[in-house]
Amino acid sequence: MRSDRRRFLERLAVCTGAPAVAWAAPGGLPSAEHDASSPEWERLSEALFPGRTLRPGQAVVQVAAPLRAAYGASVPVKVVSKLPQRPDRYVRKLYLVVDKNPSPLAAVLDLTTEVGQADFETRLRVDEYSHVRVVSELSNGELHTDSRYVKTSGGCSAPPNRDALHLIGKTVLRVAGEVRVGQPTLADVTVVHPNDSGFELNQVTVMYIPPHFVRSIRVSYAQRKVFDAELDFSISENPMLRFHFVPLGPGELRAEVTDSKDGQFVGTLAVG
Amino acid sequence: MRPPRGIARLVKPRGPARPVKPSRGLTRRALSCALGAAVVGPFCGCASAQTGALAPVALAPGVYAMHGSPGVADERNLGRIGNAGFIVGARGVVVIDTGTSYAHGEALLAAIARVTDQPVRVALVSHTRPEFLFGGAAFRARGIPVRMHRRTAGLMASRCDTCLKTLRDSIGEGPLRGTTMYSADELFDATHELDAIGRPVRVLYFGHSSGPGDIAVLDVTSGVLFAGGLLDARRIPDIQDSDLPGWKRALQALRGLGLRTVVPGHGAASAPQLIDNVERYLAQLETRVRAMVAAGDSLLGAADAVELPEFDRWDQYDTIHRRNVSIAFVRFERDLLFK
Repeated sequence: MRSDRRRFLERLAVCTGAPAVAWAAPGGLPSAEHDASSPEWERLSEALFPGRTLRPGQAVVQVAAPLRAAYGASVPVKVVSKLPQRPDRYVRKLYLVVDKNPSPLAAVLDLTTEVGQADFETRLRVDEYSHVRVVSELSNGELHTDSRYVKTSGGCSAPPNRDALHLIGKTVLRVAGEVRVGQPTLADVTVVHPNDSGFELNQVTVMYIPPHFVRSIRVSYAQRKVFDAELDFSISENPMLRFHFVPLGPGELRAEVTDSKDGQFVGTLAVG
Repeated sequence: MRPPRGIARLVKPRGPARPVKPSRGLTRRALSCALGAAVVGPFCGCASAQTGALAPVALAPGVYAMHGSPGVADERNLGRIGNAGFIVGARGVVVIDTGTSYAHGEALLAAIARVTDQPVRVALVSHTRPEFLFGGAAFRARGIPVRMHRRTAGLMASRCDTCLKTLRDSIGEGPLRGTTMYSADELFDATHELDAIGRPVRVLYFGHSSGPGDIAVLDVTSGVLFAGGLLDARRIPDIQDSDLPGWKRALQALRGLGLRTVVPGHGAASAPQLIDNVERYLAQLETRVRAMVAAGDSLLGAADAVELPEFDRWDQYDTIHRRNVSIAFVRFERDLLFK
């Protein structure tokens, strides 16, 4: 009698999705707190910042990403710095990390005070549920960090786009809104590029598409360095960076791009 | 243990009732759950998931739909979220879509065998999504060829190892036992008549539409269309693999076919007015997202900003719609970049 009742309950449990002891336990989709670490991050942070203290919390730097149903091929990520970019204390470097990606270090940005405000936005490939992290290194050597756990939606990757191979390297700079002399002004740079990781198969030949991605974007204004970005294939197709710069008068905004096949490209925009 | 014969059977079998072997991939417990579902009824949340595929719905003489469960693939619905169907001719049966897993493919074949004694001649895969193609291994194991568009096969080969891995994470190993990647037995490139069952069946290809190799299958006699990826009913259409202008052209072409009933890829068999709903969703999505891109807005807030109240009760509004906004955003941006 008792065992009948037990069987009935087990059946119910299975049917309602509650765990039942004998039921083959599926892995289930992972989940984690936004501020949690991961084995990958433990290893990587020790390699990048050996013996140094990383300060969590959002007092100095914050990272924003979609909290649900993100599109894994292009997850927008925004880094917001909570301090002005002044010579006495400024953000010297920003590291962007996707824990679970095959190459987790997505970007290292080397900044000057010319950005005015150390906020950046880009788009990342997030292969599976993963933390996205930023580490902000200040001019005084302090390291601050923040993270978001990103859940992408859909188990099938999008077919890679091969519509405009002839445009590879086309580099477009835009100033969003008004140019504000002496003030941080919002701009973005986009490079037409497949940013192939080397891990995707061609749909027609079913052969691996060789890696071919943007390695660096160096941005200057009026011949003064604004920032250098070292990038990786964790950045989405057609790499985009949204940034600030401080125009002090008429000048040329210039982006110099190199890719992993030593392709070199330049985009310019006359400002003011 | 007795096999789960007769559960929620809507259509009477024509041939003599014959025992159905329990599906290889179905565990004893899953079977007991299915039987339990029939007994427990209202207390059991998974009745439709367990039995939905086993209940062919007759849409016209010889034309049947087998509906999947709503929602995303999970442990409860065993990932059986896509529709399948079949057409019975004088010389055999053609099956449209193969289910999510080996066990699901077996279950579909068992359900067909309860309706007709005619042999299954061929299984068509309408588009490259796990819930339509991973049952193919069960058909092939019985010597039934699986047939798909060349570009569907290409996309499958290039990404479905990963889809299968993700599916395992979502629903667990048990329901996927025996489920493997495979290559299609028959490929084609264009619209054609399928001469396989002694009844006119037209395989329609409109070029890259909802997906690169997406097809629809028309039973000419009844005017029933199996729409695959081209149409979903009360579920957000997924634009990930699509070419939007090509999709719109395909929907326009469907209007000229004199359809009586549409079996969508997901959701209930519907009147052909379903085409209008899908078209309206795509149009609203495009209008709203193009406006955001033109305004130079950030992708970061796009999914929150593009609410479409007319469709917010559709299945997967919180997931596929949000993803669609991102996909459309990046594409429309690219259009501007390429100019």
